[in-house]
Amino acid sequence: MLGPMRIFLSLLCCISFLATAVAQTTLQVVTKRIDKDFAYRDGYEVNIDGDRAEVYIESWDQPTIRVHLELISKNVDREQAEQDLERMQYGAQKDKNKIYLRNYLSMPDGAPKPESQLKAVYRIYLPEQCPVYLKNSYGIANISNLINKLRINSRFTRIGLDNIQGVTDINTQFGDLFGQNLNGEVSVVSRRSDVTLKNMKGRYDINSQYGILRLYAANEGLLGLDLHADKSQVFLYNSKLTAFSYDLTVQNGRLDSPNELKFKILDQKDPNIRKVTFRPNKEYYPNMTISITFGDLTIGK
Amino acid sequence: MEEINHQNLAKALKKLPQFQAPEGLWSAIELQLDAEEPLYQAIRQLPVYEAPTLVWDNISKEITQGAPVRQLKRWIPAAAAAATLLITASWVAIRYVNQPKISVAYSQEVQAQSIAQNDWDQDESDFNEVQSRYTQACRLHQTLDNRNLSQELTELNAAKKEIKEAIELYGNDPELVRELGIVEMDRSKVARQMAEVAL
Repeated sequence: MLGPMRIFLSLLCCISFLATAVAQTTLQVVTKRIDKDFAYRDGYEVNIDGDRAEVYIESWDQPTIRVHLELISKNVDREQAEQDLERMQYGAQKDKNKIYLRNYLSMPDGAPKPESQLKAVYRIYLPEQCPVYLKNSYGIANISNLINKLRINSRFTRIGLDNIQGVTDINTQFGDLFGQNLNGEVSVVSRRSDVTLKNMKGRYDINSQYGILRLYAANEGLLGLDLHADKSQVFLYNSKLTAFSYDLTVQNGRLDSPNELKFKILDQKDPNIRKVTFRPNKEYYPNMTISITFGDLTIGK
Repeated sequence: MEEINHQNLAKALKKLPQFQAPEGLWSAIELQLDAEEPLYQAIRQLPVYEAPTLVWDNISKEITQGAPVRQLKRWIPAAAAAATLLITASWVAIRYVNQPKISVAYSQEVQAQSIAQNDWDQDESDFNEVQSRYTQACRLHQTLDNRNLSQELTELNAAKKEIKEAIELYGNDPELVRELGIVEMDRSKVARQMAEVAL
Protein backbone atom coordinates (compact mmCIF):
# COMPACT_ATOMS: atom_id res chain seq x y z
CA MET A 1 0.00 0.00 0.00
CA LEU A 2 2.95 2.30 0.71
CA GLY A 3 4.09 2.13 -2.93
CA PRO A 4 0.98 3.52 -4.65
CA MET A 5 0.64 6.17 -1.97
CA ARG A 6 4.22 7.30 -2.61
CA ILE A 7 3.54 7.45 -6.35
CA PHE A 8 0.34 9.43 -5.76
CA LEU A 9 2.12 11.92 -3.49
CA SER A 10 4.98 12.26 -5.98
CA LEU A 11 2.53 12.92 -8.79
CA LEU A 12 0.72 15.49 -6.66
CA CYS A 13 4.03 17.25 -5.94
CA CYS A 14 4.93 17.19 -9.63
CA ILE A 15 1.58 18.62 -10.66
CA SER A 16 1.70 21.40 -8.09
CA PHE A 17 5.31 22.20 -9.09
CA LEU A 18 4.38 22.34 -12.76
CA ALA A 19 1.35 24.46 -11.97
CA THR A 20 3.59 26.95 -10.17
CA ALA A 21 6.23 26.86 -12.88
CA VAL A 22 3.84 27.59 -15.75
CA ALA A 23 1.72 30.19 -13.92
CA GLN A 24 1.47 33.04 -16.35
CA THR A 25 -0.40 36.28 -16.76
CA THR A 26 -1.72 37.80 -19.94
CA LEU A 27 -0.93 41.49 -20.10
CA GLN A 28 -2.78 44.02 -22.24
CA VAL A 29 -0.23 46.13 -24.06
CA VAL A 30 -1.13 49.64 -25.20
CA THR A 31 1.44 51.38 -27.38
CA LYS A 32 1.34 55.02 -28.40
CA ARG A 33 3.64 55.61 -31.35
CA ILE A 34 4.94 59.04 -32.31
CA ASP A 35 6.76 59.52 -35.63
CA LYS A 36 8.50 62.77 -36.40
CA ASP A 37 11.13 63.96 -38.90
CA PHE A 38 13.49 66.93 -38.56
CA ALA A 39 15.45 68.30 -41.51
CA TYR A 40 19.16 68.09 -40.62
CA ARG A 41 21.67 70.88 -41.08
CA ASP A 42 25.37 71.01 -40.14
CA GLY A 43 25.75 72.03 -36.50
CA TYR A 44 22.56 70.40 -35.29
CA GLU A 45 22.68 68.16 -32.20
CA VAL A 46 20.24 65.55 -30.96
CA ASN A 47 19.65 65.81 -27.24
CA ILE A 48 17.74 62.95 -25.58
CA ASP A 49 16.52 62.96 -22.00
CA GLY A 50 15.07 59.52 -21.39
CA ASP A 51 13.55 58.03 -18.27
CA ARG A 52 12.94 54.27 -18.22
CA ALA A 53 13.79 54.38 -21.90
CA GLU A 54 15.31 52.08 -24.46
CA VAL A 55 17.21 54.16 -26.97
CA TYR A 56 18.38 52.80 -30.31
CA ILE A 57 20.36 55.16 -32.53
CA GLU A 58 21.96 54.45 -35.87
CA SER A 59 23.12 56.55 -38.79
CA TRP A 60 21.80 56.61 -42.32
CA ASP A 61 22.62 58.48 -45.52
CA GLN A 62 19.69 60.91 -45.54
CA PRO A 63 19.78 64.54 -44.36
CA THR A 64 16.97 63.88 -41.93
CA ILE A 65 16.67 63.04 -38.26
CA ARG A 66 13.86 60.51 -38.00
CA VAL A 67 12.37 59.72 -34.61
CA HIS A 68 10.07 56.82 -33.81
CA LEU A 69 9.05 57.01 -30.18
CA GLU A 70 6.88 54.35 -28.55
CA LEU A 71 5.32 54.85 -25.15
CA ILE A 72 4.28 51.45 -23.84
CA SER A 73 1.94 50.56 -21.01
CA LYS A 74 1.24 46.97 -19.87
CA ASN A 75 -1.39 45.83 -17.43
CA VAL A 76 -3.79 42.93 -17.02
CA ASP A 77 -6.56 45.54 -17.30
CA ARG A 78 -6.59 47.42 -20.61
CA GLU A 79 -8.39 50.47 -19.20
CA GLN A 80 -5.80 50.82 -16.47
CA ALA A 81 -3.04 50.45 -19.06
CA GLU A 82 -4.63 53.22 -21.17
CA GLN A 83 -5.10 55.45 -18.14
CA ASP A 84 -1.47 55.03 -17.06
CA LEU A 85 -0.22 55.60 -20.60
CA GLU A 86 -1.67 59.12 -20.40
CA ARG A 87 0.81 59.80 -17.60
CA MET A 88 3.72 59.13 -19.92
CA GLN A 89 4.53 62.52 -21.43
CA TYR A 90 6.95 63.26 -24.23
CA GLY A 91 8.57 66.15 -26.02
CA ALA A 92 10.03 66.27 -29.54
CA GLN A 93 10.96 69.73 -30.70
CA LYS A 94 13.70 71.82 -32.27
CA ASP A 95 15.11 74.85 -30.51
CA LYS A 96 17.81 76.73 -32.45
CA ASN A 97 20.30 74.04 -33.47
CA LYS A 98 19.20 71.38 -30.97
CA ILE A 99 16.61 68.66 -31.41
CA TYR A 100 15.23 67.91 -27.96
CA LEU A 101 13.61 64.54 -27.34
CA ARG A 102 12.38 63.59 -23.92
CA ASN A 103 9.91 61.46 -22.02
CA TYR A 104 8.86 61.69 -18.42
CA LEU A 105 6.19 60.53 -16.03
CA SER A 106 3.62 63.13 -15.08
CA MET A 107 2.94 63.00 -11.33
CA PRO A 108 0.25 65.56 -10.42
CA ASP A 109 -0.21 66.27 -6.70
CA GLY A 110 -2.46 63.71 -5.06
CA ALA A 111 -2.66 61.44 -8.12
CA PRO A 112 -2.17 57.73 -7.40
CA LYS A 113 0.96 56.01 -8.66
CA PRO A 114 0.60 54.22 -11.99
CA GLU A 115 -0.19 50.52 -11.74
CA SER A 116 1.08 49.46 -15.17
CA GLN A 117 4.51 48.56 -16.49
CA LEU A 118 5.61 51.66 -18.38
CA LYS A 119 8.52 52.36 -20.67
CA ALA A 120 9.59 54.42 -23.67
CA VAL A 121 11.38 53.12 -26.76
CA TYR A 122 13.21 55.53 -29.06
CA ARG A 123 14.40 54.47 -32.53
CA ILE A 124 16.38 57.30 -34.08
CA TYR A 125 17.99 57.50 -37.51
CA LEU A 126 20.31 60.40 -38.22
CA PRO A 127 23.29 61.48 -40.36
CA GLU A 128 26.56 60.02 -39.06
CA GLN A 129 28.07 63.48 -38.39
CA CYS A 130 25.20 64.53 -36.13
CA PRO A 131 26.38 64.90 -32.51
CA VAL A 132 24.32 63.07 -29.89
CA TYR A 133 23.86 63.71 -26.18
CA LEU A 134 21.95 61.06 -24.26
CA LYS A 135 20.82 61.09 -20.65
CA ASN A 136 18.93 58.06 -19.46
CA SER A 137 17.89 56.05 -16.42
CA TYR A 138 16.66 52.47 -16.07
CA GLY A 139 16.97 51.39 -19.64
CA ILE A 140 19.08 50.48 -22.62
CA ALA A 141 21.16 52.50 -25.08
CA ASN A 142 22.37 50.92 -28.33
CA ILE A 143 24.20 53.29 -30.64
CA SER A 144 26.13 52.60 -33.83
CA ASN A 145 27.95 54.21 -36.76
CA LEU A 146 28.55 57.79 -35.66
CA ILE A 147 31.65 59.85 -36.53
CA ASN A 148 31.46 63.15 -34.69
CA LYS A 149 30.57 63.47 -31.02
CA LEU A 150 28.71 61.21 -28.62
CA ARG A 151 28.08 61.93 -24.96
CA ILE A 152 26.19 59.62 -22.61
CA ASN A 153 25.26 60.20 -19.01
CA SER A 154 23.31 57.28 -17.59
CA ARG A 155 22.28 55.36 -14.50
CA PHE A 156 21.07 51.76 -14.45
CA THR A 157 21.35 51.63 -18.22
CA ARG A 158 23.05 48.99 -20.34
CA ILE A 159 25.07 50.72 -23.04
CA GLY A 160 26.08 49.09 -26.32
CA LEU A 161 28.27 51.00 -28.78
CA ASP A 162 29.51 49.88 -32.18
CA ASN A 163 31.68 51.71 -34.71
CA ILE A 164 31.82 55.12 -33.04
CA GLN A 165 34.47 57.62 -34.11
CA GLY A 166 35.37 61.12 -32.98
CA VAL A 167 34.86 62.24 -29.41
CA THR A 168 33.08 59.75 -27.16
CA ASP A 169 32.34 60.66 -23.58
CA ILE A 170 30.59 58.10 -21.38
CA ASN A 171 29.55 58.46 -17.76
CA THR A 172 27.76 55.40 -16.41
CA GLN A 173 26.62 54.34 -12.97
CA PHE A 174 25.12 50.93 -12.25
CA GLY A 175 25.03 50.12 -15.93
CA ASP A 176 27.32 47.97 -18.02
CA LEU A 177 29.11 49.33 -21.05
CA PHE A 178 29.94 47.18 -24.06
CA GLY A 179 31.78 48.91 -26.90
CA GLN A 180 33.46 47.66 -30.02
CA ASN A 181 35.27 49.44 -32.84
CA LEU A 182 35.54 52.73 -30.97
CA ASN A 183 38.13 55.04 -32.47
CA GLY A 184 39.04 58.58 -31.46
CA GLU A 185 39.15 60.37 -28.12
CA VAL A 186 37.29 58.06 -25.76
CA SER A 187 36.58 58.97 -22.16
CA VAL A 188 34.82 56.60 -19.77
CA VAL A 189 33.86 57.29 -16.18
CA SER A 190 32.14 54.29 -14.67
CA ARG A 191 30.94 53.38 -11.20
CA ARG A 192 29.53 49.98 -10.32
CA SER A 193 29.52 49.13 -14.00
CA ASP A 194 31.31 46.42 -15.93
CA VAL A 195 33.10 47.71 -19.00
CA THR A 196 34.04 45.64 -22.05
CA LEU A 197 35.80 47.34 -24.96
CA LYS A 198 36.84 45.41 -28.05
CA ASN A 199 39.10 46.41 -30.94
CA MET A 200 40.12 49.60 -29.15
CA LYS A 201 41.62 52.25 -31.41
CA GLY A 202 42.49 55.85 -30.66
CA ARG A 203 43.15 57.35 -27.25
CA TYR A 204 41.36 56.20 -24.09
CA ASP A 205 40.95 57.78 -20.70
CA ILE A 206 39.13 55.46 -18.29
CA ASN A 207 38.22 56.00 -14.68
CA SER A 208 36.42 53.13 -12.99
CA GLN A 209 35.20 52.15 -9.56
CA TYR A 210 33.63 48.85 -8.54
CA GLY A 211 33.61 47.14 -11.89
CA ILE A 212 35.17 44.47 -14.04
CA LEU A 213 37.01 45.89 -17.04
CA ARG A 214 37.81 43.75 -20.05
CA LEU A 215 39.87 45.71 -22.55
CA TYR A 216 40.89 44.30 -25.94
CA ALA A 217 43.39 46.59 -27.65
CA ALA A 218 43.51 46.56 -31.47
CA ASN A 219 46.83 45.38 -32.92
CA GLU A 220 47.11 48.62 -34.86
CA GLY A 221 45.59 51.97 -34.04
CA LEU A 222 45.58 52.18 -30.24
CA LEU A 223 47.35 55.45 -29.51
CA GLY A 224 47.26 55.39 -25.73
CA LEU A 225 45.44 54.21 -22.64
CA ASP A 226 45.24 56.05 -19.35
CA LEU A 227 43.34 53.95 -16.81
CA HIS A 228 42.60 54.57 -13.15
CA ALA A 229 40.60 51.86 -11.41
CA ASP A 230 39.55 51.54 -7.81
CA LYS A 231 38.19 48.32 -6.27
CA SER A 232 37.97 46.93 -9.77
CA GLN A 233 39.33 43.99 -11.71
CA VAL A 234 41.09 44.84 -14.95
CA PHE A 235 41.86 42.43 -17.80
CA LEU A 236 43.92 43.79 -20.69
CA TYR A 237 44.34 41.70 -23.82
CA ASN A 238 46.41 42.12 -26.99
CA SER A 239 48.28 39.71 -29.25
CA LYS A 240 51.27 42.07 -29.64
CA LEU A 241 51.84 42.96 -26.01
CA THR A 242 55.47 44.02 -26.46
CA ALA A 243 54.49 46.69 -28.99
CA PHE A 244 53.27 48.90 -26.13
CA SER A 245 54.99 50.76 -23.36
CA TYR A 246 53.65 50.25 -19.82
CA ASP A 247 53.62 52.24 -16.61
CA LEU A 248 51.72 50.17 -14.08
CA THR A 249 50.86 50.71 -10.44
CA VAL A 250 48.95 48.09 -8.50
CA GLN A 251 48.09 48.79 -4.89
CA ASN A 252 46.61 46.09 -2.66
CA GLY A 253 46.15 43.79 -5.61
CA ARG A 254 47.85 41.30 -7.91
CA LEU A 255 49.58 41.84 -11.23
CA ASP A 256 49.53 38.89 -13.62
CA SER A 257 51.30 39.18 -16.94
CA PRO A 258 53.00 36.85 -19.48
CA ASN A 259 56.74 36.26 -19.18
CA GLU A 260 57.52 38.04 -22.44
CA LEU A 261 56.82 41.36 -20.72
CA LYS A 262 60.05 41.85 -18.76
CA PHE A 263 58.97 44.58 -16.35
CA LYS A 264 61.41 46.83 -14.61
CA ILE A 265 60.40 47.18 -10.97
CA LEU A 266 60.41 50.83 -9.94
CA ASP A 267 59.44 50.84 -6.32
CA GLN A 268 59.10 47.99 -3.86
CA LYS A 269 59.42 49.83 -0.54
CA ASP A 270 55.79 49.28 0.35
CA PRO A 271 54.88 45.60 -0.19
CA ASN A 272 51.29 46.62 -0.91
CA ILE A 273 52.27 48.84 -3.85
CA ARG A 274 53.83 47.49 -7.00
CA LYS A 275 55.18 49.87 -9.63
CA VAL A 276 56.62 48.49 -12.84
CA THR A 277 57.52 49.76 -16.27
CA PHE A 278 58.26 48.40 -19.73
CA ARG A 279 59.55 50.04 -22.91
CA PRO A 280 59.55 48.32 -26.33
CA ASN A 281 62.65 48.30 -28.54
CA LYS A 282 61.49 50.88 -31.04
CA GLU A 283 61.28 54.61 -31.42
CA TYR A 284 57.52 55.19 -31.39
CA TYR A 285 55.05 53.24 -29.31
CA PRO A 286 51.67 53.72 -27.67
CA ASN A 287 51.69 54.12 -23.92
CA MET A 288 49.57 52.25 -21.38
CA THR A 289 49.39 53.95 -18.00
CA ILE A 290 47.38 51.88 -15.55
CA SER A 291 46.84 52.48 -11.88
CA ILE A 292 44.71 50.16 -9.73
CA THR A 293 43.89 50.20 -6.06
CA PHE A 294 42.22 47.29 -4.27
CA GLY A 295 41.98 45.28 -7.45
CA ASP A 296 43.89 42.94 -9.73
CA LEU A 297 45.40 43.60 -13.12
CA THR A 298 45.70 40.74 -15.58
CA ILE A 299 47.53 41.25 -18.86
CA GLY A 300 47.25 38.53 -21.48
CA LYS A 301 46.87 37.64 -25.12
CA MET B 1 -28.85 145.22 -35.09
CA GLU B 2 -29.52 147.50 -32.11
CA GLU B 3 -28.84 146.27 -28.59
CA ILE B 4 -32.04 146.54 -26.54
CA ASN B 5 -30.55 146.37 -23.04
CA HIS B 6 -27.37 148.20 -23.74
CA GLN B 7 -26.96 149.39 -20.17
CA ASN B 8 -27.25 145.91 -18.75
CA LEU B 9 -24.67 144.65 -21.18
CA ALA B 10 -22.27 147.45 -20.29
CA LYS B 11 -22.74 146.69 -16.57
CA ALA B 12 -22.12 142.98 -17.09
CA LEU B 13 -19.01 143.63 -19.13
CA LYS B 14 -17.67 145.89 -16.41
CA LYS B 15 -18.21 143.11 -13.84
CA LEU B 16 -16.12 140.62 -15.79
CA PRO B 17 -12.74 139.85 -14.13
CA GLN B 18 -9.65 141.31 -15.73
CA PHE B 19 -6.33 139.45 -16.24
CA GLN B 20 -2.92 140.65 -17.19
CA ALA B 21 0.04 138.72 -18.58
CA PRO B 22 2.71 137.90 -15.95
CA GLU B 23 5.49 140.36 -15.56
CA GLY B 24 8.41 139.78 -17.90
CA LEU B 25 6.43 137.79 -20.49
CA TRP B 26 6.42 140.49 -23.11
CA SER B 27 10.09 141.31 -22.60
CA ALA B 28 10.91 137.56 -22.95
CA ILE B 29 9.03 137.39 -26.26
CA GLU B 30 10.83 140.49 -27.42
CA LEU B 31 14.22 138.99 -26.50
CA GLN B 32 13.40 135.82 -28.40
CA LEU B 33 12.37 137.73 -31.50
CA ASP B 34 15.56 139.79 -31.29
CA ALA B 35 17.58 136.61 -31.10
CA GLU B 36 15.88 135.16 -34.20
CA GLU B 37 16.28 138.37 -36.19
CA PRO B 38 19.69 137.37 -37.72
CA LEU B 39 18.03 134.22 -39.07
CA TYR B 40 15.28 136.16 -40.80
CA GLN B 41 17.90 138.54 -42.18
CA ALA B 42 19.87 135.59 -43.58
CA ILE B 43 16.72 134.14 -45.19
CA ARG B 44 15.98 137.47 -46.85
CA GLN B 45 19.50 137.53 -48.27
CA LEU B 46 19.21 134.05 -49.85
CA PRO B 47 19.32 134.09 -53.66
CA VAL B 48 16.12 133.22 -55.55
CA TYR B 49 16.17 130.90 -58.59
CA GLU B 50 13.45 130.19 -61.09
CA ALA B 51 12.99 126.62 -62.42
CA PRO B 52 13.49 126.31 -66.19
CA THR B 53 10.20 126.25 -68.13
CA LEU B 54 10.98 122.75 -69.45
CA VAL B 55 10.73 121.33 -65.93
CA TRP B 56 7.22 122.69 -65.40
CA ASP B 57 6.20 121.45 -68.85
CA ASN B 58 7.40 117.93 -68.03
CA ILE B 59 5.62 117.89 -64.69
CA SER B 60 2.41 119.06 -66.35
CA LYS B 61 2.70 116.28 -68.96
CA GLU B 62 3.17 113.60 -66.27
CA ILE B 63 0.18 114.85 -64.31
CA THR B 64 -2.06 114.79 -67.40
CA GLN B 65 -0.87 111.28 -68.51
CA GLY B 66 -1.08 109.66 -65.02
CA ALA B 67 -1.75 106.16 -66.41
CA PRO B 68 1.39 104.27 -65.22
CA VAL B 69 0.80 105.33 -61.65
CA ARG B 70 -2.72 103.96 -61.66
CA GLN B 71 -1.51 100.64 -63.16
CA LEU B 72 1.07 100.26 -60.41
CA LYS B 73 -1.54 100.90 -57.75
CA ARG B 74 -3.69 98.06 -59.13
CA TRP B 75 -0.73 95.66 -58.94
CA ILE B 76 0.17 96.35 -55.33
CA PRO B 77 -2.93 94.88 -53.59
CA ALA B 78 -2.92 91.87 -55.92
CA ALA B 79 0.77 91.15 -55.19
CA ALA B 80 0.26 91.65 -51.45
CA ALA B 81 -2.73 89.27 -51.46
CA ALA B 82 -0.77 86.64 -53.39
CA ALA B 83 2.22 86.95 -51.04
CA THR B 84 0.01 86.70 -47.95
CA LEU B 85 -1.71 83.64 -49.41
CA LEU B 86 1.64 82.03 -50.22
CA ILE B 87 3.10 82.73 -46.77
CA THR B 88 -0.03 81.42 -45.04
CA ALA B 89 -0.06 78.28 -47.21
CA SER B 90 3.65 77.68 -46.52
CA TRP B 91 3.14 78.18 -42.79
CA VAL B 92 0.20 75.79 -42.74
CA ALA B 93 2.19 73.26 -44.82
CA ILE B 94 5.22 73.52 -42.51
CA ARG B 95 3.01 73.20 -39.44
CA TYR B 96 1.30 70.18 -40.94
CA VAL B 97 4.57 68.55 -41.98
CA ASN B 98 6.15 69.20 -38.57
CA GLN B 99 3.26 67.71 -36.68
CA PRO B 100 4.18 64.25 -35.40
CA LYS B 101 2.10 61.34 -36.58
CA ILE B 102 0.56 59.69 -33.55
CA SER B 103 -1.08 56.26 -33.49
CA VAL B 104 -2.17 53.85 -30.77
CA ALA B 105 -1.92 50.06 -31.04
CA TYR B 106 -3.21 47.26 -28.83
CA SER B 107 -1.71 43.83 -28.29
CA GLN B 108 -1.27 41.14 -25.65
CA GLU B 109 1.76 39.69 -23.94
CA VAL B 110 2.23 36.69 -21.72
CA GLN B 111 4.40 37.18 -18.67
CA ALA B 112 5.52 34.78 -15.97
CA GLN B 113 3.71 35.44 -12.72
CA SER B 114 6.81 34.81 -10.61
CA ILE B 115 8.05 38.32 -11.40
CA ALA B 116 5.35 39.73 -9.18
CA GLN B 117 6.88 38.11 -6.07
CA ASN B 118 8.55 41.02 -4.32
CA ASP B 119 10.79 39.11 -1.93
CA TRP B 120 13.74 41.50 -1.97
CA ASP B 121 13.14 42.93 1.50
CA GLN B 122 13.10 39.57 3.32
CA ASP B 123 16.68 39.77 4.60
CA GLU B 124 16.77 43.41 5.67
CA SER B 125 16.95 42.52 9.36
CA ASP B 126 20.08 40.40 8.66
CA PHE B 127 21.67 43.26 6.72
CA ASN B 128 20.94 45.65 9.59
CA GLU B 129 22.42 43.24 12.13
CA VAL B 130 25.62 42.71 10.13
CA GLN B 131 26.06 46.43 9.59
CA SER B 132 25.55 47.27 13.26
CA ARG B 133 28.02 44.55 14.37
CA TYR B 134 30.52 45.76 11.80
CA THR B 135 30.16 49.38 12.93
CA GLN B 136 30.67 48.24 16.51
CA ALA B 137 33.79 46.28 15.55
CA CYS B 138 35.18 49.26 13.65
CA ARG B 139 34.64 51.44 16.70
CA LEU B 140 36.81 49.06 18.70
CA HIS B 141 39.48 48.67 15.99
CA GLN B 142 39.60 51.93 14.11
CA THR B 143 41.62 50.63 11.18
CA LEU B 144 39.15 47.90 10.23
CA ASP B 145 37.04 49.93 7.81
CA ASN B 146 39.91 50.69 5.43
CA ARG B 147 37.78 49.60 2.48
CA ASN B 148 34.91 51.84 3.46
CA LEU B 149 32.45 48.96 3.54
CA SER B 150 29.94 51.02 5.55
CA GLN B 151 29.99 53.73 2.93
CA GLU B 152 29.68 51.12 0.20
CA LEU B 153 26.66 49.53 1.83
CA THR B 154 25.06 52.95 2.34
CA GLU B 155 25.52 53.69 -1.36
CA LEU B 156 24.05 50.32 -2.33
CA ASN B 157 21.12 50.80 0.05
CA ALA B 158 20.42 54.12 -1.65
CA ALA B 159 20.62 52.43 -5.06
CA LYS B 160 18.19 49.72 -3.95
CA LYS B 161 15.79 52.36 -2.64
CA GLU B 162 16.04 54.19 -5.96
CA ILE B 163 15.22 51.08 -8.00
CA LYS B 164 12.35 50.17 -5.69
CA GLU B 165 10.92 53.64 -6.31
CA ALA B 166 11.34 53.13 -10.04
CA ILE B 167 9.52 49.79 -9.77
CA GLU B 168 6.68 51.52 -7.93
CA LEU B 169 6.40 54.10 -10.71
CA TYR B 170 7.14 52.07 -13.81
CA GLY B 171 5.96 48.64 -12.67
CA ASN B 172 7.97 45.55 -11.74
CA ASP B 173 8.91 44.51 -15.23
CA PRO B 174 11.74 41.97 -15.72
CA GLU B 175 14.45 44.53 -16.58
CA LEU B 176 13.99 46.57 -13.41
CA VAL B 177 13.85 43.39 -11.33
CA ARG B 178 17.12 42.32 -12.97
CA GLU B 179 18.74 45.66 -12.02
CA LEU B 180 17.53 45.18 -8.47
CA GLY B 181 19.02 41.68 -8.49
CA ILE B 182 22.45 43.06 -9.47
CA VAL B 183 22.37 45.59 -6.63
CA GLU B 184 21.24 42.87 -4.21
CA MET B 185 24.19 40.67 -5.25
CA ASP B 186 26.57 43.57 -4.56
CA ARG B 187 24.91 44.24 -1.21
CA SER B 188 25.22 40.58 -0.28
CA LYS B 189 28.90 40.62 -1.18
CA VAL B 190 29.52 43.65 1.02
CA ALA B 191 27.51 42.09 3.85
CA ARG B 192 29.65 38.93 3.62
CA GLN B 193 32.83 41.01 3.75
CA MET B 194 31.47 42.85 6.79
CA ALA B 195 30.59 39.56 8.44
CA GLU B 196 34.12 38.20 7.89
CA VAL B 197 35.50 41.17 9.79
CA ALA B 198 32.91 41.60 12.48
CA LEU B 199 31.55 38.24 13.52
